[in-house]
Amino acid sequence: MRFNELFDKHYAKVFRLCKGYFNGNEALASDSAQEVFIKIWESLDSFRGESSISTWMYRISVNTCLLYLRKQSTKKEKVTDDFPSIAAEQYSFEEEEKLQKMYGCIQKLEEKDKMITLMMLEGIGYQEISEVVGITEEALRVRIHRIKKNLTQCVQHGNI
Amino acid sequence: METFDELQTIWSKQPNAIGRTSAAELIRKGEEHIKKVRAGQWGTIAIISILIIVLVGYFFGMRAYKMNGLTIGLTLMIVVMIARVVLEWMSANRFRSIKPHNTLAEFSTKMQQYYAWRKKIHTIFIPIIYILYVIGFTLLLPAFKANLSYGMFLYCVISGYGFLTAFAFFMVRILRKEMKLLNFLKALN
Repeated sequence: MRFNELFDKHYAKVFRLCKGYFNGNEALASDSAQEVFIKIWESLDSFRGESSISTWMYRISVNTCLLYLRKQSTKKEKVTDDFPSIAAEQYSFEEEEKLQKMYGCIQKLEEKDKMITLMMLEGIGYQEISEVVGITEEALRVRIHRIKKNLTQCVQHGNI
Repeated sequence: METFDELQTIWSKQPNAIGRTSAAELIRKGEEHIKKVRAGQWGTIAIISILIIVLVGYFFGMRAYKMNGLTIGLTLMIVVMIARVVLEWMSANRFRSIKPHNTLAEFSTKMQQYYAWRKKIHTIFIPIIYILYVIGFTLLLPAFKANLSYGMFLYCVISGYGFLTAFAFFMVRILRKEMKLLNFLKALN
């Protein structure tokens, strides 16, 4: 598959995944998503088809976002708490409030759980998530059960 | 009662990226990045080569076989500088061998191993290199004193030790940053 097709098909998902990881910060999400796709472009020739191309891409996305901030200069190290306002026509007030809460609750999760949650929210299947994270599907199911419970509880009551 | 599916629906309604980039723009950035990496690799090779040529040229060209402070000092400084560059080159190669398309578990384990190796470099090799470099520089000073004006000699002493002090602070800063990253990776695994 050509790079342009991969970009068109997956950029929005990768961007949202990074945005979720960086607490809704669009500037960081945009920079890190660009870094993800530069890595994809550089490594595309080495893709051997041992996994599906989307699994391979999500691995690059997760690993890049994980270390992106930690390798930057100290100026960029702090993730802003200012949540960007979302176009009013997309959401009701209640939904926007819930989305803000979701971002906050995701930040409270452990790093691995954060990534698993973001992939779940993007609708990625269990088998693919387990191949991205590197744990068995069974272990993933147990983890997801706990995450779902914690996340819904956090959005409703504000704590995990 | 809110369900996870409802949260997922709210999540997926988010608007797409504002000011989205293009595939062509990213390819251009990727090409620039590759050029920069290659320039860096050639730069490192060039530095090592020049240092070796200077060292060998000094010994044979100047017939400096007798062991005086100047010869020992210069040799020490050049050798430890080469060792420093070689260590950085080894680190860069090791880092490049960690592929970002590994699973999160493999990637974080390999990164942890990489930063554990960097910790060894920063806490064992760099202090040895630093001490030898300071000794080498100090051995040069009598020759500087004998051959330079007092003002120039003073300038060499102040700028030399000033640079070495600033370099030590810089290395401590890098060590702290990398140790923070190592602790993060350890917690992840």
